[in-house]
Amino acid sequence: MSIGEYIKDKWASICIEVLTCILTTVFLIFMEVEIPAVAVVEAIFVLGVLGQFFYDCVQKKRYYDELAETWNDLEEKSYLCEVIDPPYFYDGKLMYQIIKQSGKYLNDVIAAQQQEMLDYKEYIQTWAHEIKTPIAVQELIIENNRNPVTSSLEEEAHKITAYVEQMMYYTKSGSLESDYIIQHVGLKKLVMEVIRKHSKMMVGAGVIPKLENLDYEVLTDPKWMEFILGQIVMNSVKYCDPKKKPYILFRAVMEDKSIILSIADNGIGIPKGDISRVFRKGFTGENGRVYKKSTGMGLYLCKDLCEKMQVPLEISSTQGEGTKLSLRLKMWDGDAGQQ
Amino acid sequence: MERILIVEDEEKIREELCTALTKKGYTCILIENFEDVAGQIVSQAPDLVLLDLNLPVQDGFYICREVRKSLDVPIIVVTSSNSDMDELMSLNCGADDFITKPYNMHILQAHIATVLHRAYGRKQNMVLVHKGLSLDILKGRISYQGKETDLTKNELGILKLLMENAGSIISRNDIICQLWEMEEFVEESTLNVNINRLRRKLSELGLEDYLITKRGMGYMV
Repeated sequence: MSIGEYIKDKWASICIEVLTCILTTVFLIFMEVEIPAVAVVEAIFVLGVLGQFFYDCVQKKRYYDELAETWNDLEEKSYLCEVIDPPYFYDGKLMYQIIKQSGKYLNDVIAAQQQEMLDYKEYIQTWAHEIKTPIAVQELIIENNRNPVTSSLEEEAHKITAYVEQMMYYTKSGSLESDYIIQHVGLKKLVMEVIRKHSKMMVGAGVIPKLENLDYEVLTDPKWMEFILGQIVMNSVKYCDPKKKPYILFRAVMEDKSIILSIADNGIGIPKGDISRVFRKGFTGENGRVYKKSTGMGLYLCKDLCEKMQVPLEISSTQGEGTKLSLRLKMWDGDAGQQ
Repeated sequence: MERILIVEDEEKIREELCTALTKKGYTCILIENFEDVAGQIVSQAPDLVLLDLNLPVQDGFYICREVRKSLDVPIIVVTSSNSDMDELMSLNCGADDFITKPYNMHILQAHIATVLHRAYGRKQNMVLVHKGLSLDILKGRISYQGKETDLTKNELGILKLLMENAGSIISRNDIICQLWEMEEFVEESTLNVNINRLRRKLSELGLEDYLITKRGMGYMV
């Protein structure tokens, strides 16, 4: 609380006090009271008024300063009323009661919302779990009846699986706990697994994978990393340029104890104005609008999961030439690297 | 012929899995009554068990533990929940391997082959026969009426896929996918070369028109 603001707030009272002072002085002089006596009376009056303002100001300043401090230090702001004491001046008491009730009301609303979210999340997880059985049945039927028709169905089945997986990771991404487990994995094995998972889609679009210098061991969560690389591959396939013999190049470079894994394609690229926003949730950009339907979730999830695992992820692109994503992974150098 | 016992409560998966594995040369035993699954497994004494986790009556973990009390049969847990906890629990209960649904049939087959090999040591007898031509997958060799010839890795991959699905048209994309799984990232043009070479080798053995081209669709044997 600032003193200046307090005085400004009290300007009406101050004006009234000054006016009273002038009126009494005029009245006393008019009544032919001696000037020194008038001065003493007015001095006492002014001191009394100042004292009253001072007392009020100190009391409020002490209370509100403490309140502001508690608010700033408080991590869970909705607990404010539980932490502070009620004030001992009347208007403050009124306000305190109302804030307390409003806080309780908001907490109830939030709790109900949270419960609803939780139930929803649980349902989504059960649903994703259940949908896997019909997908598995479908894939087995396709496997047992191989022909050009089922082959095309298989491609779609893989897409469904990929979308379900994306949704599962999105449901997980909001929660505070991160259930990843860092292990050492062969980079080549990891990339091969990703290619295998998406081979149908890549062959369908005529995109050829190229592997370069991947004989490193890195420290990461294989499931998360497979998902991240999968999203990147799906994007490359989605936005490939069929006129240019599309490829996806996976290349690793060692850079002071880290492995930079880059995934580059020769697709349609991303417009300059969009590049800074591609990691935002729900951002689809010009490519999403012009070329294909897009959810704007893929790269957002990549960034989110990378941040959780503390893996720097960068993107660069030239429109019409291609896009390149680079991940800086920790290298595993045998038991020596383990602490 | 290895006997694989399938514990899976979803009838369609059970039956399709059985068809797929039979095609790959295994004998399947299906569990259809889920009371005392462990007892049934023990009395059947299969060479390998494919065990689902979510089952009526008893769950997979319990069955796994019960079986382990009296039988050392290899167990592969197959489940739809992709959680580390389930994987850990399965391995703690004595399962040998863990695979999540929806799985790729080639991957499941590879897991089965590895586990069987680890448990019994002997290599599986992997010979496919169709219309008198036999393909020895491990040696990468084809033979017909006493004549033999060796295949390259790509040729083997192509012929294996076609012979496993004899009588069905296999699309070019499927063949390319199969080769990609062997880390051979071939393109359309390379596939043509491989197919032509394979055809030449087949005709050298006296098999003209063994590999049929279905224009615009793919190939079949």
